[in-house]
Amino acid sequence: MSHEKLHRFHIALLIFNTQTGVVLFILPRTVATYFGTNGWIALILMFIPITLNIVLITSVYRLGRGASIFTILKSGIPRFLLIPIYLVIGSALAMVGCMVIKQYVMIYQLLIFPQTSDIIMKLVVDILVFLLVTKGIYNMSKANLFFVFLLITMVPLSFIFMRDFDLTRMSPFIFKEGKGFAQGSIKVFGAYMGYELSIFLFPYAEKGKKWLKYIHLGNSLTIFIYLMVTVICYGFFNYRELPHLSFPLLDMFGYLHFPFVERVQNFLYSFFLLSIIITSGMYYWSSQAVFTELIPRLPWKWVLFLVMASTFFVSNIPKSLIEVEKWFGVLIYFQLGVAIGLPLLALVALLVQKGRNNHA
Amino acid sequence: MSIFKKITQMFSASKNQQEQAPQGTPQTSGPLTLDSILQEFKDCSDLTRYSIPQLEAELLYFEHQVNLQIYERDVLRPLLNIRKEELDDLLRQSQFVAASNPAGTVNGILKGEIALFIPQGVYLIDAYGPEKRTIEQSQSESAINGPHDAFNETLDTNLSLIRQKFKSNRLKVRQFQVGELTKTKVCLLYIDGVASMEYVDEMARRIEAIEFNSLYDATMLTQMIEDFPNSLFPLFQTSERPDITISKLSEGKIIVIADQSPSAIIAPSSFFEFFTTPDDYYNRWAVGTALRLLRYLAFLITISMTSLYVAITTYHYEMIPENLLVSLTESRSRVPFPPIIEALLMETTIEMLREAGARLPTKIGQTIGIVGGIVIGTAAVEAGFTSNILIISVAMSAIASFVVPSYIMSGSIRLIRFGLIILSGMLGNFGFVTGIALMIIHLSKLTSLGAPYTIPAAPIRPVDWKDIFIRGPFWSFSQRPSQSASPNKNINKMKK
Amino acid sequence: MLKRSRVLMSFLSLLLFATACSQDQHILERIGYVRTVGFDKEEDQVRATLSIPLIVTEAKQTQFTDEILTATANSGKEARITLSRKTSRKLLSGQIRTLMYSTDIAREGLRNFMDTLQRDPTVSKRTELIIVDGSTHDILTGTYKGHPRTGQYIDRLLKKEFEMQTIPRILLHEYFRDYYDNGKDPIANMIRKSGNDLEYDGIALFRKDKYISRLSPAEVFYFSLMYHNQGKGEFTVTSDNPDMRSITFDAINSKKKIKIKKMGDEKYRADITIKLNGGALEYVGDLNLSITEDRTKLEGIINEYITKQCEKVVKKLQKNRTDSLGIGQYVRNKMSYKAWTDTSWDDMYRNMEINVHTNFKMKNFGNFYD
Repeated sequence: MSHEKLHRFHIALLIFNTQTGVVLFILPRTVATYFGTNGWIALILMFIPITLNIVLITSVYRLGRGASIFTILKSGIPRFLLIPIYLVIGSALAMVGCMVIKQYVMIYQLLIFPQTSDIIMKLVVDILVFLLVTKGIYNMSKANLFFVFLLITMVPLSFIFMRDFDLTRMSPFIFKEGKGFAQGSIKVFGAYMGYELSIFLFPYAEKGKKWLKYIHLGNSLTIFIYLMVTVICYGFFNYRELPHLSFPLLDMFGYLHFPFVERVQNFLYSFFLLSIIITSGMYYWSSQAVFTELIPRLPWKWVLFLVMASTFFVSNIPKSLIEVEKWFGVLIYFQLGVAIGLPLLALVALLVQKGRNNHA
Repeated sequence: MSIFKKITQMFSASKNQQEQAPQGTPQTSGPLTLDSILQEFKDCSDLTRYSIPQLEAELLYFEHQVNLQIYERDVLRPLLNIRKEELDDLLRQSQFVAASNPAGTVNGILKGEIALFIPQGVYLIDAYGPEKRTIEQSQSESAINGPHDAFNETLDTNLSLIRQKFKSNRLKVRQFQVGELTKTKVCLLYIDGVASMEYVDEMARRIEAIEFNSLYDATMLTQMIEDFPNSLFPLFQTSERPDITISKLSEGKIIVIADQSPSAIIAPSSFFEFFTTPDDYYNRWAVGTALRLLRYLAFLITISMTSLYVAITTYHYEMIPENLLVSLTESRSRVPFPPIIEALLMETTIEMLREAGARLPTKIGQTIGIVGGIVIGTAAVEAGFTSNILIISVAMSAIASFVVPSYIMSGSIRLIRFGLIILSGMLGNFGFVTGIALMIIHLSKLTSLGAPYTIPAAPIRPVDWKDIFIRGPFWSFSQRPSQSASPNKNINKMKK
Repeated sequence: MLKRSRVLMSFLSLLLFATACSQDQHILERIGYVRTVGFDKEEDQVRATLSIPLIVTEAKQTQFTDEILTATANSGKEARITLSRKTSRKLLSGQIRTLMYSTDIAREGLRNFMDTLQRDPTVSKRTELIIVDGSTHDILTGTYKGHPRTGQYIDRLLKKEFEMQTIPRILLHEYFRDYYDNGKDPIANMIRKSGNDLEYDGIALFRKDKYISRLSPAEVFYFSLMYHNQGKGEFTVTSDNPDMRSITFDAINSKKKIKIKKMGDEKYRADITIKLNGGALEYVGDLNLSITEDRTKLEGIINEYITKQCEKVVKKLQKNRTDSLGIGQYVRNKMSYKAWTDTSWDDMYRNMEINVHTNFKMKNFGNFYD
């Protein structure tokens, strides 16, 4: 199972599908609330630091000659320092994976099944995720291809909105009437999160450095989809209406109608389950990788099971969507820690190792 | 507790017995004499014994296993026309093979050889030639264009059909024997230099590892050599048509054929290959492409139609457009059951109809069709048993399921459909998508002979798409599919 | 591993069986999906009238009717709860096609009603919004010859008009969108009862969420020309001019363009240009359409006439201070952000110079050569 390497295109799509998720439904509102007029430009602006961040991650791969992040860290940093770091990172990643499902399920409850228990629905998704992750990263990437294919078929739907799209509604003002640039930036940064997991993929990726470019490709695909959705929302609704819409994308899908079916937003939202299980699955997989490094004797599927079981109980604490969003507000700092802190730490470890080698 | 113990003891006892007397192998290792062999075939009244007193010769054979022409030409006439002194010369002819032990002799007779007992020793002459079916059209894989001949139950015929169409010494055949009782001959065919030897060796290893006392058909063999025997999906394609077999061979795949079975196993196979037919290649390429897309569409319809009906009428009434709403409500308003029960009922009825039709002779099968059609089509709706829109959806998904060319795959898909209907009935669209996700997760795990089952979609191989999702024009086929991992990738470089 | 996943699978199916008894089932024939809702004012409260399609099947007879429920309450949702006590089915709003408000209610502002429409995810944004001058209750309870089901009648009537592009397509989405936009005021279509039928009754003009005035059906054509681009439809122009008593065109194709020009500080001028063409279907007048000069002359007359009518509509809009055409958006897009927030658009709009230019081209003059 593990001898097959991830094809670079698979990596790109894996990164893309990890990044996109429920956030796509909320993003136009977030952007409009915090950036105001023509807030979609913020998406492009945020793209730059994220690209730099990816460059940082890839430089670890280049300097470490493709070694696994854990090997790099082990070689330069004493184990007693690593244990707390691993514990924090592992739990934070697992919590992200868990909250992603929680959020999805709570929105589902809000929109479609107000009476059904969110715990049961979350359990269903959890089992799906468990089944997916136990198949290993290679098979996950294969399943992901089908998921992305099914999700991408929604893109042509956006052409239908062109008829109701009007540039005059966008206004020429830039970032006016926004509620806060800094807060918005962090939220948008959070929307791009998912690329940081590429640091755990080093030992599984195909040989050579070609695949590193494909992380950028996955990220660009994400920004393309985000931009498309946000820009269409800005022209389909307007910047003053967007902050009042909980899920602008769903409202937009709700406007679609076909001769044989209408109000497809619920159906399309259901299909985003395919994106959610990959997002959550990737975070759980990474968390499992961290914990397995910590307890190498336990089989990894058991580690995964324990991680998922414990987060399941934690996930019952937040009871409302607002609380879940608050949790994300905290978790984003941990994600940032993984995205920036971990590669920096790895670079330090590499330097230490190099110094030691020179000394010897 | 004691009963349980007894039962376990019984089982272990019977197991021991089996171990003491392995099935199928002759017990004696004693002297090779006529009497000992006759003893082996005690109570086999169909064994023929023919004596030639002037030569002191005895012939033992199964008349129904032997081709009488060969028997007469090679054995009987020479033996009857010589004197005793000339016997030694005659025995030097190649058809006479000396037998050394009783086991070999018994096996030989079973395989349709003639045992000749003379004072000089025992000889076996191969005259195998039982009754066989003539070459006919395939019932399950009929085609409109292209060759109509199909494999039958005789290994030699099948091999000859393949050799007739494939005149190359690179076509290699390895022979195995499977089944302790049936001793079925199994042949592994591949093209030297085109097929990947890794797959050939792996397949050989798997066939040799089979332990099963009887083998009746190649489709059964498939399930013994599959990577995931518990999977819903067939992991190896099987075909009765020599033309498919040939084309797969030249793609670098491996063929396994078994004696007494008209199906050839093609390995490794991909999920999407089950949606291709040879007719695609005999049609113009645009038509072939359209047909292929139609089949994928049929696949989608057959798994989703009824389950979406259930999901929407149970949970998502808002998705029904205005002009459908009234007629749907009207036809549903007479039905006393919730949609899921209604749908399962109708789907089961259709499946029963299909199963009944498949087992019955054609003439009665037609009656079943008419009865089913009238009962289901009209009476069920009139009686308020089901809504007529469900009938349409069930019928459409039933028809669509038969568009899938492989009958085995179509069975798997129909089973998945039931799972999806139940899921949709319980959680609406959420359940439906859960089902789809489960199916995809399961699919992406599968491998066929170690090669990914969902290739060329995942792992992604766009080069192969032109012969899987569409049927590209022949000039565009320059490479063998990557699934066969052929050492000789380019198609047109066979000429030396 | 395989064993474990099988355990999981059985667990999963068990779980789903547990959810099967979920409360969220809305089996089609067991629910009452509301199709049309009307709100009238009754003293301090609102009277809600719901029309629910009712399909009764007894043996072989199927009856199609509308169930009409009425209740008086403080809010729409409260009315629904009261009403659900009166019916045998669960009332659900996922299939609401038409929302009707009387002008009495609209005059006080629709904001209170909009809250639930936006909050409730089951209400479609494709719902038609209709203003009725009079009582919506009367419309919903009325019987119309040849139209056994009122809800469907209203819905089809509007859908047809939208399809013909003779009136602007105003659904909830468009209303909300323009309501939130600071450079545009929303509008809504109106219907009324006329004898045994229903009839289109022009456009309701809103300022923010408050109903101000209406445009008559005759004015709607000129309003539509300036409101959106048209790809089909037909129109008739009549005048006293002997050269053009009446002319009807079909297959019309119109394009509007709004240009803003800055005229010194704080003053702006709007130019609405309408490009219109169509084929003549009927002509009563003294000119010969086959002659190029006559055609050009006729085009000139039509241009002048349309311009005049359009300007009349614009004047009316300006007088009511309802920026239904969205001139404000264009002005806003010409300004800097600071200037836009500093100006009072309402005042500026009332006194703004708005010119209409029409450019009519006759595509053909029909199947007849004279």
